[in-house]
Amino acid sequence: MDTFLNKLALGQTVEEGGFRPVARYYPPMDFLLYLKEDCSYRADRVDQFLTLLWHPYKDELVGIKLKGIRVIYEKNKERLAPGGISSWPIFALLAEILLDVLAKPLIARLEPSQQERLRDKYRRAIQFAANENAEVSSDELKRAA
Amino acid sequence: MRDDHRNAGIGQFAGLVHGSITYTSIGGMQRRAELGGLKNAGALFRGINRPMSGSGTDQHPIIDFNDDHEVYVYITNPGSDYVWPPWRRFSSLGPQEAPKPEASVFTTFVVFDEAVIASAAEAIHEAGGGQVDGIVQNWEWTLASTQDPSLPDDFENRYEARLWM
Repeated sequence: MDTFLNKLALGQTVEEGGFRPVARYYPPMDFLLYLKEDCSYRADRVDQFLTLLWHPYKDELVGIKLKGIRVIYEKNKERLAPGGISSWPIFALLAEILLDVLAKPLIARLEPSQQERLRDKYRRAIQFAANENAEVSSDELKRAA
Repeated sequence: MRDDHRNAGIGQFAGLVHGSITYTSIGGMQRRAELGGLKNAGALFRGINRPMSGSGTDQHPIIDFNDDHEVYVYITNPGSDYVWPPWRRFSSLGPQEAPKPEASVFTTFVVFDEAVIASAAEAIHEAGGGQVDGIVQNWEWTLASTQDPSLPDDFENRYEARLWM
Protein backbone atom coordinates (compact mmCIF):
# COMPACT_ATOMS: atom_id res chain seq x y z
CA MET A 1 0.00 0.00 0.00
CA ASP A 2 2.77 2.44 0.88
CA THR A 3 4.40 1.88 -2.50
CA PHE A 4 1.14 2.42 -4.30
CA LEU A 5 0.45 5.63 -2.38
CA ASN A 6 3.92 6.95 -2.90
CA LYS A 7 3.50 6.33 -6.62
CA LEU A 8 0.33 8.39 -6.50
CA ALA A 9 1.95 11.24 -4.63
CA LEU A 10 5.47 11.08 -6.06
CA GLY A 11 4.11 10.74 -9.57
CA GLN A 12 3.14 14.38 -9.42
CA THR A 13 5.97 16.60 -10.47
CA VAL A 14 6.63 20.20 -9.53
CA GLU A 15 6.30 21.10 -13.21
CA GLU A 16 2.64 20.03 -13.16
CA GLY A 17 1.94 23.02 -10.93
CA GLY A 18 0.02 21.30 -8.17
CA PHE A 19 -3.58 21.88 -7.16
CA ARG A 20 -5.73 24.53 -8.78
CA PRO A 21 -9.46 25.05 -8.44
CA VAL A 22 -11.25 23.33 -11.27
CA ALA A 23 -14.73 21.94 -11.92
CA ARG A 24 -14.45 18.26 -12.69
CA TYR A 25 -17.09 15.73 -13.70
CA TYR A 26 -16.75 12.30 -12.06
CA PRO A 27 -18.61 9.81 -14.28
CA PRO A 28 -18.70 6.87 -11.83
CA MET A 29 -20.66 8.92 -9.30
CA ASP A 30 -22.23 11.28 -11.83
CA PHE A 31 -21.39 14.55 -10.08
CA LEU A 32 -19.57 17.77 -10.82
CA LEU A 33 -17.16 18.83 -8.08
CA TYR A 34 -15.64 22.27 -7.59
CA LEU A 35 -13.12 22.68 -4.78
CA LYS A 36 -11.24 25.90 -4.15
CA GLU A 37 -8.44 24.27 -2.14
CA ASP A 38 -6.86 20.87 -1.60
CA CYS A 39 -8.27 20.06 1.81
CA SER A 40 -10.68 17.68 3.50
CA TYR A 41 -14.25 18.91 3.49
CA ARG A 42 -17.54 18.13 5.24
CA ALA A 43 -20.32 17.26 2.82
CA ASP A 44 -23.64 18.95 3.64
CA ARG A 45 -26.42 17.41 1.54
CA VAL A 46 -28.91 20.09 0.53
CA ASP A 47 -31.11 17.98 -1.74
CA GLN A 48 -30.92 15.54 -4.67
CA PHE A 49 -28.94 18.00 -6.76
CA LEU A 50 -26.68 20.03 -4.48
CA THR A 51 -24.18 19.33 -1.71
CA LEU A 52 -22.24 22.11 0.03
CA LEU A 53 -18.65 21.32 1.00
CA TRP A 54 -17.54 22.97 4.23
CA HIS A 55 -14.03 23.50 5.54
CA PRO A 56 -13.21 20.74 8.07
CA TYR A 57 -12.84 23.12 11.01
CA LYS A 58 -14.27 26.48 9.95
CA ASP A 59 -17.66 27.84 8.95
CA GLU A 60 -16.42 28.42 5.43
CA LEU A 61 -17.48 26.96 2.11
CA VAL A 62 -14.61 25.36 0.21
CA GLY A 63 -16.59 23.75 -2.57
CA ILE A 64 -19.82 22.52 -4.06
CA LYS A 65 -21.00 19.28 -5.59
CA LEU A 66 -23.66 19.23 -8.30
CA LYS A 67 -25.24 15.79 -8.53
CA GLY A 68 -27.08 13.95 -11.28
CA ILE A 69 -25.25 15.86 -14.00
CA ARG A 70 -26.22 13.34 -16.67
CA VAL A 71 -29.90 14.03 -15.97
CA ILE A 72 -29.27 17.76 -15.93
CA TYR A 73 -27.35 17.62 -19.19
CA GLU A 74 -29.87 15.42 -20.97
CA LYS A 75 -32.84 17.55 -19.90
CA ASN A 76 -31.12 20.83 -20.80
CA LYS A 77 -28.95 19.83 -23.72
CA GLU A 78 -30.20 22.59 -26.01
CA ARG A 79 -29.14 25.23 -23.50
CA LEU A 80 -25.94 23.64 -22.32
CA ALA A 81 -24.50 22.41 -25.59
CA PRO A 82 -24.92 25.14 -28.20
CA GLY A 83 -21.96 25.65 -30.50
CA GLY A 84 -19.43 28.33 -29.75
CA ILE A 85 -19.74 28.30 -25.96
CA SER A 86 -16.56 27.05 -24.35
CA SER A 87 -17.60 27.24 -20.68
CA TRP A 88 -20.50 27.85 -18.32
CA PRO A 89 -20.37 29.93 -15.11
CA ILE A 90 -21.31 27.52 -12.34
CA PHE A 91 -23.45 30.14 -10.60
CA ALA A 92 -25.61 30.29 -13.74
CA LEU A 93 -25.84 26.52 -13.90
CA LEU A 94 -26.93 26.53 -10.26
CA ALA A 95 -29.38 29.41 -10.45
CA GLU A 96 -30.95 28.90 -13.86
CA ILE A 97 -31.05 25.13 -14.13
CA LEU A 98 -30.56 23.35 -10.82
CA LEU A 99 -32.63 25.75 -8.75
CA ASP A 100 -35.15 27.22 -11.20
CA VAL A 101 -35.88 24.16 -13.30
CA LEU A 102 -35.19 21.14 -11.11
CA ALA A 103 -35.15 22.00 -7.41
CA LYS A 104 -37.88 24.64 -7.11
CA PRO A 105 -40.80 22.27 -7.78
CA LEU A 106 -39.41 19.92 -5.14
CA ILE A 107 -38.74 22.71 -2.65
CA ALA A 108 -42.31 23.97 -3.08
CA ARG A 109 -43.62 20.71 -1.61
CA LEU A 110 -41.73 21.20 1.67
CA GLU A 111 -42.76 22.88 4.90
CA PRO A 112 -42.12 26.67 4.82
CA SER A 113 -39.23 26.45 7.30
CA GLN A 114 -37.56 23.74 5.22
CA GLN A 115 -38.17 25.72 2.05
CA GLU A 116 -36.30 28.71 3.47
CA ARG A 117 -33.44 26.51 4.70
CA LEU A 118 -32.93 25.02 1.25
CA ARG A 119 -33.27 28.35 -0.54
CA ASP A 120 -30.65 29.81 1.80
CA LYS A 121 -28.26 26.97 0.99
CA TYR A 122 -28.80 27.44 -2.74
CA ARG A 123 -28.13 31.18 -2.27
CA ARG A 124 -24.88 30.36 -0.48
CA ALA A 125 -23.79 28.00 -3.25
CA ILE A 126 -24.63 30.54 -5.97
CA GLN A 127 -22.78 33.30 -4.10
CA PHE A 128 -19.78 31.03 -3.56
CA ALA A 129 -19.61 30.06 -7.24
CA ALA A 130 -19.96 33.70 -8.30
CA ASN A 131 -17.24 34.87 -5.90
CA GLU A 132 -14.94 32.14 -7.14
CA ASN A 133 -15.68 32.89 -10.80
CA ALA A 134 -16.07 29.15 -11.02
CA GLU A 135 -16.71 27.81 -14.51
CA VAL A 136 -17.17 24.41 -16.04
CA SER A 137 -15.92 23.85 -19.54
CA SER A 138 -18.33 22.65 -22.20
CA ASP A 139 -16.03 19.71 -22.83
CA GLU A 140 -16.27 18.70 -19.18
CA LEU A 141 -20.07 18.93 -19.27
CA LYS A 142 -20.20 16.87 -22.44
CA ARG A 143 -18.57 13.99 -20.56
CA ALA A 144 -21.98 13.54 -18.93
CA ALA A 145 -23.68 13.04 -22.29
CA MET B 1 -8.33 12.85 -8.05
CA ARG B 2 -4.64 12.27 -8.67
CA ASP B 3 -4.65 14.28 -11.90
CA ASP B 4 -6.34 17.18 -10.10
CA HIS B 5 -3.79 17.04 -7.24
CA ARG B 6 -6.51 16.37 -4.66
CA ASN B 7 -3.99 15.02 -2.22
CA ALA B 8 -6.21 15.36 0.83
CA GLY B 9 -8.43 12.76 -0.78
CA ILE B 10 -5.49 10.45 -1.40
CA GLY B 11 -4.47 10.77 2.25
CA GLN B 12 -8.03 9.91 3.29
CA PHE B 13 -8.03 6.85 1.07
CA ALA B 14 -4.79 5.69 2.67
CA GLY B 15 -5.84 6.16 6.26
CA LEU B 16 -9.59 5.83 6.26
CA VAL B 17 -10.47 3.48 3.41
CA HIS B 18 -7.45 1.18 3.13
CA GLY B 19 -6.04 1.75 6.59
CA SER B 20 -2.67 0.02 6.24
CA ILE B 21 -0.20 2.88 6.13
CA THR B 22 2.94 4.60 7.25
CA TYR B 23 2.02 8.10 8.38
CA THR B 24 3.17 10.99 10.51
CA SER B 25 1.13 11.49 13.65
CA ILE B 26 -0.19 14.83 14.88
CA GLY B 27 2.68 14.75 17.37
CA GLY B 28 5.23 14.36 14.58
CA MET B 29 6.05 10.67 15.04
CA GLN B 30 6.51 8.40 12.03
CA ARG B 31 4.25 5.39 12.48
CA ARG B 32 3.34 2.22 10.66
CA ALA B 33 -0.19 1.15 11.49
CA GLU B 34 -3.06 -1.10 10.59
CA LEU B 35 -5.92 1.32 11.14
CA GLY B 36 -8.66 -0.92 9.79
CA GLY B 37 -10.07 1.59 7.33
CA LEU B 38 -13.32 0.48 5.81
CA LYS B 39 -13.37 -2.63 8.01
CA ASN B 40 -14.30 -0.35 10.92
CA ALA B 41 -17.68 0.44 9.35
CA GLY B 42 -20.42 0.81 11.93
CA ALA B 43 -23.30 1.01 9.48
CA LEU B 44 -24.07 0.19 5.87
CA PHE B 45 -26.69 1.76 3.64
CA ARG B 46 -27.76 0.85 0.12
CA GLY B 47 -28.99 3.26 -2.55
CA ILE B 48 -28.46 6.99 -2.70
CA ASN B 49 -31.63 8.98 -3.22
CA ARG B 50 -30.63 11.15 -6.11
CA PRO B 51 -30.45 10.94 -9.88
CA MET B 52 -27.38 9.05 -10.93
CA SER B 53 -26.41 7.25 -14.06
CA GLY B 54 -22.83 6.15 -13.73
CA SER B 55 -20.98 3.66 -15.83
CA GLY B 56 -22.57 0.25 -15.55
CA THR B 57 -25.41 1.45 -13.37
CA ASP B 58 -27.47 3.37 -15.87
CA GLN B 59 -30.73 1.60 -15.12
CA HIS B 60 -33.10 4.26 -13.92
CA PRO B 61 -35.60 6.39 -15.82
CA ILE B 62 -34.52 10.00 -15.90
CA ILE B 63 -38.01 11.33 -15.34
CA ASP B 64 -38.44 9.82 -11.89
CA PHE B 65 -35.17 11.07 -10.40
CA ASN B 66 -34.67 7.61 -8.99
CA ASP B 67 -31.92 6.67 -6.61
CA ASP B 68 -29.11 4.43 -7.63
CA HIS B 69 -29.63 1.07 -5.99
CA GLU B 70 -26.15 -0.18 -6.78
CA VAL B 71 -24.25 2.15 -4.46
CA TYR B 72 -23.41 0.90 -0.98
CA VAL B 73 -22.42 3.50 1.62
CA TYR B 74 -20.16 2.39 4.49
CA ILE B 75 -20.13 4.62 7.56
CA THR B 76 -17.08 4.84 9.81
CA ASN B 77 -16.29 7.07 12.77
CA PRO B 78 -12.50 7.47 12.76
CA GLY B 79 -10.84 9.54 15.43
CA SER B 80 -8.53 11.32 12.99
CA ASP B 81 -8.28 12.49 9.41
CA TYR B 82 -5.35 11.76 7.08
CA VAL B 83 -4.27 14.26 4.46
CA TRP B 84 -1.31 14.81 2.17
CA PRO B 85 -0.29 18.45 2.38
CA PRO B 86 1.61 19.95 -0.56
CA TRP B 87 4.89 20.17 1.32
CA ARG B 88 4.89 16.39 1.80
CA ARG B 89 3.68 15.57 -1.65
CA PHE B 90 7.05 14.99 -3.21
CA SER B 91 8.44 12.94 -0.35
CA SER B 92 7.90 9.38 0.75
CA LEU B 93 6.75 10.38 4.24
CA GLY B 94 3.21 9.20 3.64
CA PRO B 95 0.04 10.92 4.82
CA GLN B 96 -0.16 13.32 7.74
CA GLU B 97 -2.61 12.65 10.55
CA ALA B 98 -4.94 15.60 11.14
CA PRO B 99 -7.72 16.35 13.61
CA LYS B 100 -11.06 14.83 12.70
CA PRO B 101 -13.33 17.33 10.92
CA GLU B 102 -15.94 18.71 13.28
CA ALA B 103 -19.31 16.96 13.68
CA SER B 104 -18.72 14.49 10.86
CA VAL B 105 -18.68 10.84 9.93
CA PHE B 106 -16.71 9.27 7.11
CA THR B 107 -18.63 7.81 4.17
CA THR B 108 -17.26 5.45 1.52
CA PHE B 109 -19.22 4.66 -1.64
CA VAL B 110 -18.77 1.17 -3.07
CA VAL B 111 -20.28 -0.51 -6.13
CA PHE B 112 -20.47 -4.29 -6.57
CA ASP B 113 -22.01 -4.10 -10.03
CA GLU B 114 -20.36 -6.67 -12.31
CA ALA B 115 -20.14 -4.27 -15.25
CA VAL B 116 -18.35 -1.69 -13.11
CA ILE B 117 -15.95 -4.31 -11.76
CA ALA B 118 -15.25 -5.61 -15.26
CA SER B 119 -14.49 -2.10 -16.51
CA ALA B 120 -11.86 -1.62 -13.82
CA ALA B 121 -10.52 -5.17 -13.53
CA GLU B 122 -7.94 -4.88 -16.30
CA ALA B 123 -6.35 -1.74 -14.87
CA ILE B 124 -6.31 -3.28 -11.40
CA HIS B 125 -4.74 -6.47 -12.74
CA GLU B 126 -2.06 -4.45 -14.55
CA ALA B 127 -1.28 -2.63 -11.30
CA GLY B 128 -0.67 -5.97 -9.61
CA GLY B 129 -3.98 -6.22 -7.82
CA GLY B 130 -5.76 -9.47 -7.05
CA GLN B 131 -9.39 -10.50 -7.12
CA VAL B 132 -11.83 -7.60 -7.23
CA ASP B 133 -15.19 -7.91 -5.49
CA GLY B 134 -16.19 -4.27 -5.51
CA ILE B 135 -15.01 -0.83 -6.55
CA VAL B 136 -14.62 2.08 -4.15
CA GLN B 137 -16.00 4.99 -6.17
CA ASN B 138 -15.79 7.87 -3.73
CA TRP B 139 -15.19 8.80 -0.11
CA GLU B 140 -15.66 11.93 1.99
CA TRP B 141 -16.38 13.33 5.41
CA THR B 142 -20.09 14.05 5.80
CA LEU B 143 -21.92 16.15 8.39
CA ALA B 144 -23.22 13.92 11.17
CA SER B 145 -26.79 13.55 12.34
CA THR B 146 -27.59 15.60 15.42
CA GLN B 147 -29.84 12.75 16.62
CA ASP B 148 -27.23 10.03 16.11
CA PRO B 149 -23.73 11.49 15.66
CA SER B 150 -22.40 8.13 14.46
CA LEU B 151 -24.50 8.42 11.29
CA PRO B 152 -24.76 10.97 8.47
CA ASP B 153 -27.16 13.88 8.71
CA ASP B 154 -30.65 13.01 7.39
CA PHE B 155 -29.69 9.36 7.02
CA GLU B 156 -33.38 8.43 7.08
CA ASN B 157 -34.02 10.20 3.77
CA ARG B 158 -30.75 10.31 1.85
CA TYR B 159 -30.37 6.54 1.45
CA GLU B 160 -32.79 3.91 0.23
CA ALA B 161 -32.25 1.28 2.91
CA ARG B 162 -30.20 0.60 6.01
CA LEU B 163 -28.63 -2.87 5.73
CA TRP B 164 -26.85 -3.11 9.06
CA MET B 165 -25.66 -0.99 11.94
